[in-house]
Amino acid sequence: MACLLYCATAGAAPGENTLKIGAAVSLSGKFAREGEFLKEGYDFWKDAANAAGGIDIGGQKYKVEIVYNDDESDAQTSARLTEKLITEDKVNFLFGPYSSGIATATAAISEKYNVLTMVPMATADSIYQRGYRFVFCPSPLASTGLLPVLELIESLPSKPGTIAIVGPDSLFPNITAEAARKKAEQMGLKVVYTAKYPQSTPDLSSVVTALKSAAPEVVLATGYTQDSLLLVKSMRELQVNPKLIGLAMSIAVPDFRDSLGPVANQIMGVDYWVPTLTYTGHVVKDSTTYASQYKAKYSKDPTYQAASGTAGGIILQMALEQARSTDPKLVREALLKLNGETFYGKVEFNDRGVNTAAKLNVTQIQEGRPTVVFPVEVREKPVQYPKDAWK
Amino acid sequence: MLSQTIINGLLLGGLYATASIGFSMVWGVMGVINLAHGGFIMIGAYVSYWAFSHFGLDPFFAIPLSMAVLFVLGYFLQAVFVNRVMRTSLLLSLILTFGIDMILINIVVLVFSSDFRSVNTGYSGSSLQIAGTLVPYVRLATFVFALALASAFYLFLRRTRAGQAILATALDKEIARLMAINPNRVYALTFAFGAALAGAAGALASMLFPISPSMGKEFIGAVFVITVLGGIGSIEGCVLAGLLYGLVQAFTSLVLGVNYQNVVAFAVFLTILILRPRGLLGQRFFGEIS
Repeated sequence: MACLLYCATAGAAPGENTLKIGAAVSLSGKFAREGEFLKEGYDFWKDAANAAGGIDIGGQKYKVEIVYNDDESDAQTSARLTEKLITEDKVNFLFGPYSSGIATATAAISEKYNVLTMVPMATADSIYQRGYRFVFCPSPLASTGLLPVLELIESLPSKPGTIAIVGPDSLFPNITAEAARKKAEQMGLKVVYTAKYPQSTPDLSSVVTALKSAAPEVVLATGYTQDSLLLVKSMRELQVNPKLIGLAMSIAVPDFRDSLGPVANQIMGVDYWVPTLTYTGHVVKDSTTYASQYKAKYSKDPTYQAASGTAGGIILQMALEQARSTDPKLVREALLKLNGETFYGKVEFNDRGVNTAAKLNVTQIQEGRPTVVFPVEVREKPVQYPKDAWK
Repeated sequence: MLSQTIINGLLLGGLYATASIGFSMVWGVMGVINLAHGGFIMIGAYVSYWAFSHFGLDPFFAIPLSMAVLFVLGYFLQAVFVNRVMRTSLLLSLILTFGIDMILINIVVLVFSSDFRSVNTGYSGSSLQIAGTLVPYVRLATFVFALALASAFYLFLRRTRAGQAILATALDKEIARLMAINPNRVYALTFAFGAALAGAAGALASMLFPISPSMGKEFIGAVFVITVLGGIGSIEGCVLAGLLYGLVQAFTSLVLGVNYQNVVAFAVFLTILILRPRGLLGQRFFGEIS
């Protein structure tokens, strides 16, 4: 049943220098889908870097090789594989797994061996509060999940006054909901209703009935795709019509939009990355280029998980070029000094490995298309507010 | 809000009841706890989705289609696989049906991918307004259909020869044989009908819930509770228990909060088991595993 996937990429010719990077990602199990996207993102960067002749480290060209192992979406397996990658495969650096739960286990291992890990898809704040020095995340953290929506609300000419926050009772959604609640109170919004429902509940009509009697003007939801779908459908059935519906996670997922069809219009959410962002950078010029090159390579559209993987690779490359060495301590210093931009977003790390310049953007579904509406500097179209009533 | 809660609870309970009847019958008649029941519900939902997305067939018309597909599948599975382990041990039938469930889920993942699907008809979101309470059309229709199916199956069991053969075999297999009833045929038929009812429940559920390969897993917990609560093998019991389950969950959400839904529902379940082990309307000979 256990299937360790060794995917050693292009073997280096004799005399060439190789940069060996290890990656324990979920290629089977509950995170198989996301893990596959992440792997494709890492591979995209590796192929792009090697096509340009390799990475230039202190005047020498290094070819990139990534060793993949399947952690089966299990934290213990991932930790064990990480140890193996470090001690047996002797990798120089690590690319992190998908999900904070698994990354928490692997971060402890890589820290023990002082091997630098770039983990774009582990955004729980708790990982970065343990004093680890060698874990870096280019993506915005979980606690910032709904903050961009609140910032958008702040920027509206006629601000709403009441807000409700609902979501499943799970680590990531709870962190996001709590941070959103604090910020909403700071902004002077009245939190009229909150609810935490069991994650795999088949029915949300009780939550929506309570929402109806609380009648908030804004509804923020921190749920995963399945329960967000259920929430929206139930709100429509029971005619709950807030002026704004904001989702922490599902807006980025295509089947969320496809399942709902026109019902999804004017719902907004936060997104790590969309192909229409206007950031520019190294190795990959901008998001539009990334989207078309990725599609040509893999015959499907890139997701934010893939984009984050590629960005992680690019940032590591930038640091290696600056440090002019593969010594983790020197690369770490280079990362801390880095102040730049990739197609994925801005980069500036604090000493805990958190990218303080990372910003989620707010995407709203307009006429069936996800459209960036906030921050204003990178938006495509202005936001449609207030939301029309369900038909 | 109180009347809305009652309506929500009843409407959902009706659907759960239909989802449970097949499971209950199979357990009562054959002594098999069919863990693939959730998978059957899921396939019923996918058949409905497929008919809707390819032919624009309204899900209510897809119910007979789902039932037919699942009937054939159920008959085949019982005759070829389940029959062989029925006389051995309960554990083996649990393992076998668990395995069948996994196979079904993974086949669906291969064919349809694990993307979420949804059936959105024109009347999907609309509701009937009765004195300030909203009764969504889809849920109301699902409820009515669910009860109609339960009644139809009840009449089938009591009034037709095939149905009475099923009840007879459950009561006493050896005597039934003496009455020219072939138990193997009866078992296959029972399993097939159980699957067909699961398929119907799935088709109804496709209108209410997001469809995914693992959606059956969310039902199986409720189905188990409702079956035992109502009395194993009793259709009236399933309906009553289903409605009760829906109401208890809805009221708990109202009074205590959504997290306590399952806690209270299972507490009620345990209480009734302690006070009345055969369930609300169960009879003693069903549920005995021979």
